[in-house]
Formats: sequence, C-alpha cells, structure tokens
Amino acid sequence: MNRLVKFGMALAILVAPAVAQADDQDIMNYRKQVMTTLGQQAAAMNMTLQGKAPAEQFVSHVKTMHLAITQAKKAFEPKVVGDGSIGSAKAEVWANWADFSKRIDEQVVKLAALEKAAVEGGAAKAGPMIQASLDCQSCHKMYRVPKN
Amino acid sequence: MTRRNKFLASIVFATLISGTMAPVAFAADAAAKPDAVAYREAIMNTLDVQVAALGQILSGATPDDQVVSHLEAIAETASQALKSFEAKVEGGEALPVVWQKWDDFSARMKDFQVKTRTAADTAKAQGKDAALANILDALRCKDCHDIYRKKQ
Ligand code: HEC
Ligand code: HEC
Repeated sequence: MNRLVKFGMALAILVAPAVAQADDQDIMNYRKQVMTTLGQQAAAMNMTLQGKAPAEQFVSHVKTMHLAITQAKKAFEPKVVGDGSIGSAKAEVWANWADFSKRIDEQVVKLAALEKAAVEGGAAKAGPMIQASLDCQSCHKMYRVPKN
Repeated sequence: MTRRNKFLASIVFATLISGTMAPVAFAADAAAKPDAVAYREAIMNTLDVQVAALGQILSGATPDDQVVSHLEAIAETASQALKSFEAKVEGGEALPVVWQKWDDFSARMKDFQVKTRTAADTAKAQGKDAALANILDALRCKDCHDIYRKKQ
C-alpha cells in the first residue's frame, strides 16, 4: 500500500476515538511502555539462561530491566485508573499508593543487586538470585485486573 | 501544543522512526516462533516502546524528567541487537537479505549502537537538550527496516 495512504488511514483509526482523552491515554501508554520493556527484557534474559540465545547477553538484559524499573515510579504517579480490561491497572494502585510505590522501590533495589551480581559474576553468580529478585507476579496479582 | 496536536505529534514521531503502528507483540504469540526470531523480536520490541516513550516526551505528552534513562535504555538495547541476528534463522519479519548482505546489515547495526551510545553519554555529560538535538540521526530505525524488514 502507498505509504501516505497507509499513514492517513492509521491516523484516522488511531486518532478518532482517542482524541478526547489524549492525556489520560498518554499516561497509560507511558506506564505500559515501561512495563513492556520489563516483560520483553525478562523474556530475553530467560532465553539466554535456557541456551536459546547468546549467554553473553545476559548482563545487558539485566541492566535494561534495572533501568526500566527505575522509570516505573514516575510512570505510575499520575492517577489515571486503567480502563478495566484484563491486565490493566486497578484503582488500588493509587488507593494503596504507599504499598504500591514501596513495591516499586523494592523491585528497584533487587534489580540493582541482580545487576551488580551479573556484572561481577555473570549468570553463574546472578542466576541463583533471579527467582527471589523478581516481584512481577506478586505485584501484578494485587494491582492488575485479573483474568476472572 | 493542543492535546490533539500533541497526540498527533507522538504518533508521527513513532511512525517516522520505526515505520511501525502495530501494537507490540506479546510473549504468547512469540512462543510459536523459532527461538532466534522470538529473541531478536523481544529486543526490537524493547526499542519500540522505549523510543515511543521518548517520542511522547518530545511531543510534550509526557514529562521530560526521565529522558536520560530512556536514552540509556535505548543504547543498552541497541547493544543487544547485532548478536540477536547472528544466528541465521529466517522468519519473523526479517528478510533473507539480512544474511545475504550481512556486511551492510551489521555495519548499520554497529552504527546504530554507536550513535545511541553517544546520545546516552552526551545526555549524561551535557544534559538532555544536547543529546536530543541530534536524536533523529541516531534513531534511523526506518532506514534499516526499509531494506531488511518485511513491509508492514
Ligand atoms: C509494583 C508493582 C509492579 C511490579 C513490581 C511489576 N509490575 Fe508489571 N505491571 C504493574 C501494573 C499495575 C501493570 C498494569 C499497567 C497498566 O495497564 O496500566 C503492569 C503491567 C505489566 C505488563 C503489561 C504491559 C502492557 O502493555 O499492558 C507487563 C508485560 C509487565 N507488567 C511486566 C512486568 C515484569 C516482567 C515485572 C518484573 C520484572 C513487572 N512487570 C513488575 C505493576 C508491577
Ligand atoms: C540495522 C537494522 C535495524 C535497525 C537499526 C533497527 N531495526 Fe527494527 N528490525 C530489523 C529487522 C531485520 C526486523 C525484523 C526482525 C524479525 O521479525 O525477525 C526488525 C523488527 C522490528 C520490529 C518488529 C518486531 C516484531 O515483534 O515483529 C520493531 C517494533 C522494530 N524493529 C523497532 C525498531 C526500532 C524502534 C528501531 C530504532 C530505535 C529499530 N527497530 C532499529 C532491523 C533493524
């Protein structure tokens, strides 16, 4: 398809329903971008540990996860409750902000420690720490809309 | 900027940069893919969301206090990209020409890595404005996609 036509169509589809709430949408997009970074890099990190991807990339994936979690607090600060769809942010994120933000802080500390171990001793040193270093599931259980 | 313009600007930025509009693929559909394809796509998808975040910031839709961190994440991820294509596994959205013209492809990837690293280091040393002045030159995602990635 002609690129301009494609671009115009995509704009029409994307813009029409979203304009009214562009700001809320921006806020939701931003925190999802940060979380998606964690998800993609965690998947890549796991592949390096399973022999499905080059082992020497392990450290870089841990570094990127650490960076991404440091972006999370700011991304969740604006109180825009998710749209209620599966996986979206529940109102509890802001109702229990002290707990939620503490969990982010703890995840930052754990990933910083994981990165330090990874830099010092690679997967041999950091590998055994991984399970205890990832709080993804426990936070998601509390703060994302469940599958039913 | 008005809200509408702001929103448009961030879409235009995302499109110019990567030629992508589709939402990021999720792990579920990566499961059926060969490992090498899932792996390089995880890296590309990381770039996509970190660049999208930067685009929202540049358009004024998102506060600009995390620019340095986004530039660092882009540089770190760019450093993962070349290795992820070394396994010659066709599939995904990669065209076979990636491996037929490996010298050119890898030179582009190295250039991308160097320029994004320079942007991140400049941001840390001289502040974000200095880094953002040339940022479009570092993010030539689309130049590579036009040759090496299946048309969207
Ligand atoms: C402090 C709580 C917390 C922690 C820790 C956390 N997350 Fe999340 N995550 C959330 C919330 C809340 C959402 C929903 C965001 C939304 O939809 O607005 C989410 C969403 C996601 C999503 C979906 C993004 C999208 O586009 O919809 C992914 C993927 C994800 N998280 C991965 C991870 C990974 C991997 C980790 C661990 C390394 C992690 N998260 C740690 C709270 C957390
Ligand atoms: C030197 C070449 C090159 C550069 C530079 C490059 N890419 Fe890619 N990208 C590719 C190739 C090749 C594919 C197809 C990979 C596949 O699906 O197997 C791809 C695929 C993608 C995909 C689709 C992933 C999927 O799940 O199907 C996204 C999104 C993407 N790139 C974003 C970016 C962004 C954003 C940048 C710049 C910040 C970038 N790319 C820079 C070569 C490049």
